Amino acid sequence: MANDIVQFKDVSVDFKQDKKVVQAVSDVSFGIPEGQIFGIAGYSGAGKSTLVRTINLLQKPTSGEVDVFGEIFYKKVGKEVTLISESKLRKERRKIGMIFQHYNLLDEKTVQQNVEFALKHSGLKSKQISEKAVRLLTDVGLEKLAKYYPSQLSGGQQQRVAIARALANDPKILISDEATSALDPENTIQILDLLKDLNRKYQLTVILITHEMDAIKRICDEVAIMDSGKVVEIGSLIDIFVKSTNPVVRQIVGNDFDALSILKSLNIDTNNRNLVKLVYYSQEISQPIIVDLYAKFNVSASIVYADIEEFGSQTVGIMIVDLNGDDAQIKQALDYLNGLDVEVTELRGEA
Amino acid sequence: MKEWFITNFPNVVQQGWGGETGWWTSIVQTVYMTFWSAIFGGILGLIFGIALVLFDKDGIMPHKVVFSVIDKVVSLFRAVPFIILLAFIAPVTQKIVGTQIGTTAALVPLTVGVFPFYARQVQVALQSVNKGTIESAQSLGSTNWDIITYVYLGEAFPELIRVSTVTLISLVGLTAMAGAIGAGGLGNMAISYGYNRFANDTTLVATILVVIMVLIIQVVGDVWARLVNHTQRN
Repeated sequence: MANDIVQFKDVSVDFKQDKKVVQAVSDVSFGIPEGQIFGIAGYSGAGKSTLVRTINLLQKPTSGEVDVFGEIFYKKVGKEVTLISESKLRKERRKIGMIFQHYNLLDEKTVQQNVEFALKHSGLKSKQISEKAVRLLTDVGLEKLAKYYPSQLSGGQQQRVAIARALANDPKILISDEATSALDPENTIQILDLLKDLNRKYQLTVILITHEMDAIKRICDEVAIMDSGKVVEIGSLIDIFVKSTNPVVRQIVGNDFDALSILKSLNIDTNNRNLVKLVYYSQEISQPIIVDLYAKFNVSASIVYADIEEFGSQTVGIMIVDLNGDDAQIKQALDYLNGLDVEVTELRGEA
Repeated sequence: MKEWFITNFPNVVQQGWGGETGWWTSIVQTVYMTFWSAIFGGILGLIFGIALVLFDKDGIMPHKVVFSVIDKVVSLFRAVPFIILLAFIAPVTQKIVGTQIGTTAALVPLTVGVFPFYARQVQVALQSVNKGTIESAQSLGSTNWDIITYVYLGEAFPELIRVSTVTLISLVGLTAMAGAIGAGGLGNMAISYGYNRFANDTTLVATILVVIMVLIIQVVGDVWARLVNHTQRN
């Protein structure tokens, strides 16, 4: 699509290991829309990192095409390879920031020197470079630590330095490769919120690679699920976390919204019961639907399971209820719920 | 004290301070040989060491053939025992220095003898640099030159000081052998004027002086490496 800032077309990456060929990424095609926070999730070894490293060509694909900013970075048709020139690639890489799990700062340079290093080819004079480095460090809340060395900083602070450095050349894309995986929960949240902030403030496209579903849920707009080198499913958070029925996806994102697995884990027998799954999105939560069912239809609903999850700004609730009452009235009750934009799934006889 | 020394170290005293066979002359010769061959061998070793890392299959400019040639050259020169190298390389020394004997002539075999050793040390030091740091520099659009200077040499700097210290110390050892081609120095003093003439006192004093030199190098190297190190790696 035209507004995709990154396009993968049939991208495959093979690794040779002791004469055996391992396909880390196989035939992946999708686009990453500009301005989004796009998550790529999956188990470690699923090929997430390998795939995103083809964006700035830290990893050359074995075949396929990678377009960034609407330009062909890499393309292989048959034996013919189109590859962006080295000097052009270096320039383009400055527009694609990247942060890593282990921060990867220059340990023998100060925090400020680390940021200045990124500005070496910016064309700025050394005084302007210093000023910009300080400004970037202020943006991530580290101006006081400019003269410190990375080893004197906490993990979260080091990752902030890495972010300041990655943003030095005002990139349009920021790739976060498991950047919060080595951090404690508090720092993880702070870094994620910082990424969200940068996304809002600068329309920065953020590509978030992680195996932590909470990170995806907190800030992503869209998410691609990868498994064994392939993209299994792509969609909005709701599509993937709430609605997906793909067993691989369910296994990776968790079963919080999969009624049958929930019932199974709770050891609840579905036979001879009128079990119904209700999924509702933010605005309905304030409605007393359970009370309504009794008041309006004389149907009692006993709650078997209930949970509320947040996906970015959207809250989603799930309830599994056991309905008791007259059959005809139960049917009316379900129609009423459907009318309220509550997703109703009858679980009778499914298990 | 002075008398005691004269009585117990007669040969040492007889050797004198200045003059062609004096102690001061020997010390100067050893320092001279160590210093200049460290400069030449150091530059050569650094270049070869960097090349070994760059052209390695995991390096930033992988090149099988170039790597293999450099690797073989380094291995080959390391395989030749130094005392044989002294003789073996004499014709080359003649071409470069104009003579095969003397302190300056010894610089050629010393340089050739020390650079492969140093190259390997540099190689190991540079390989200790985190691959991720190199990758992050690449992701910032750094040139290969930036990566060599800032990342490889910059990040491995404390380690480079450490391996340079080790190399310098083994170089002092090599200069002792250079006495065989008339280069003088403390090693020559210990062998020619001490051991060969049964003047054990001369051998002892020459040895002590070499040990003092080595200790000075070791201490300076250790302190310097610690001062420039900003990681908590050690």
